[in-house]
Amino acid sequence: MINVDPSIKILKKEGEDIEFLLENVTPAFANSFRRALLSEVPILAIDEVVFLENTSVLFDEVIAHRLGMIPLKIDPKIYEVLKECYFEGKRDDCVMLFTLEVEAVDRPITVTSGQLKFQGSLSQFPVNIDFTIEPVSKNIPIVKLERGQKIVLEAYAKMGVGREHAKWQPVTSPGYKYMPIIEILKEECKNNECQRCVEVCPRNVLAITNGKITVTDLYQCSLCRACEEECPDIIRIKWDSSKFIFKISNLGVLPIEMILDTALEVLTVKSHSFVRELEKLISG
Amino acid sequence: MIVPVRCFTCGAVIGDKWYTFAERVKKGENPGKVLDDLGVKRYCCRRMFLSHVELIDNILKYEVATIEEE
Ligand SMILES: [Zn+2]
Repeated sequence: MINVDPSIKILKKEGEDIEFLLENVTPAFANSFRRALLSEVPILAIDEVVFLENTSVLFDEVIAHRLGMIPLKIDPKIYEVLKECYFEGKRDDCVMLFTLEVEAVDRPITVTSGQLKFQGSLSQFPVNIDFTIEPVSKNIPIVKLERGQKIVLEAYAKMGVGREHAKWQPVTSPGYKYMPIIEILKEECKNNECQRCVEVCPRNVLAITNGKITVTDLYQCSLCRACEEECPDIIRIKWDSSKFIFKISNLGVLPIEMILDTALEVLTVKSHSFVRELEKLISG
Repeated sequence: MIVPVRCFTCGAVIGDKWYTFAERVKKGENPGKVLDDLGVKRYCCRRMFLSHVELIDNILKYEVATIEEE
């Protein structure tokens, strides 16, 4: 039974990638957190496309699917409003309109996501803030046009969750592992023999300094136990099942902190409603 | 046909990196090194680049023929 408060400690943050330590939780919680991150955080994605003209080599459906897969960067200022739209079941009230009109006149061209034009929200927003929504990258190819081909379309972006379709996933697959514990039973052993356990490690976690085996980068250990297999009398690999190292790479749709926050919020709401249902059952 | 927008497995955007990758590999660079440069780390995303064949250009050739006939 875990009676200490769970905590998150950020280990590394490089660009859109984040690595953090989740402490004092059960494996079940760590997994539900991972699943909530993938499938319960609502974001925007193009869901309906009206084609006015398409003489390109790709079918309407293929282009519509490609448009849907383009991640849209949401202005953090309006995320609260959009989130409410989704959770209150009014997703049709928060629809964003994009248009695309490209014609290849004298040379073949590649239509990219940067050519999508944001035309604002279809309905009146409760708050009067200026905001823009744009693709996370301007260079995602949508279709290639040969001279004389033309594409004109309207695309409607709606809020949704990854549970429904992968295009609404706010992050790429998040992964986690147990916190490794490397026990060194005998620090000193004959140097030339000992080099073996250092060399066998695929992540270069171990090193020999001053004739002693030392752990240089514990977080890199993947618990493969190759070193333990090599020298079973010297090294023992264990893990702490209440600590987890999470690795998430963000798509750039929202700041990672907001995604983590929303995932936890959704988990809280879900477990509260589960407890309420249980109480109803007990009281008859 | 045309390069996929995202990696089939993890969902990371790869479409925007394809043309840089293709160009650099064509010039004779090592594909693995180019992928490292572009920041494509996971092997699910790397195989998207290594196994992709951009066929749309071949189909566009026939489109030119029909346009010129008209
Ligand atoms: Zn991938």
